[in-house]
Amino acid sequence: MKRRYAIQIAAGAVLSAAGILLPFLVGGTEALSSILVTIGLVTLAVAVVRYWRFRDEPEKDERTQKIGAYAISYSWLLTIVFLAILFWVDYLRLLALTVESVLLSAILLMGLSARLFQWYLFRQGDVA
Amino acid sequence: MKTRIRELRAKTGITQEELAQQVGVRRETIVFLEKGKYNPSLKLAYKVARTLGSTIEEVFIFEEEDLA
Repeated sequence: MKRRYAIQIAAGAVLSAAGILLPFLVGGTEALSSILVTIGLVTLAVAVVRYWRFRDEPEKDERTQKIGAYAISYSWLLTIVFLAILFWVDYLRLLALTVESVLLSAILLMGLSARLFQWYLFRQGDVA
Repeated sequence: MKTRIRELRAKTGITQEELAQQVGVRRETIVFLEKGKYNPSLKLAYKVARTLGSTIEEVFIFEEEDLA
């Protein structure tokens, strides 16, 4: 096992254990405890999944980095188009948009579309 | 683009995983290289050719349409 995965798994286990033990040692720390347990479990899960998926292989190489960069570029372009559409929708008063809804939709669109483009391009093998 | 990676690997008795490790990429990348679906960088092409004891021209075969 790569040293990196071992450290991540150990850190996740220590954080989770600390979160579980904290309320027994110090009173009124339930909120902090739940945060620690959540962070610990997420760290542990991510490390285990990465280890299971990559083992001793490199996590990224020139192909994956290239595909990742292209996917993010495509996602950025899509978001620009989306924001331009929102601008006209608002300008022509077709829909009453709040700042919150615009921000949330842009954040979700960027994140989800980047993953979607990456998934598609990884299946293709390359970008050209 | 066509490649002779599979053929040269068979000659040298090296697996996809070993080749991937020696050139520092994921095994998946070697799979796509063998299928001719990935155009490697000059550096990766050189590393693959050197590991297989060949030259870039012997391993990677570009056709006229690839160069257009």
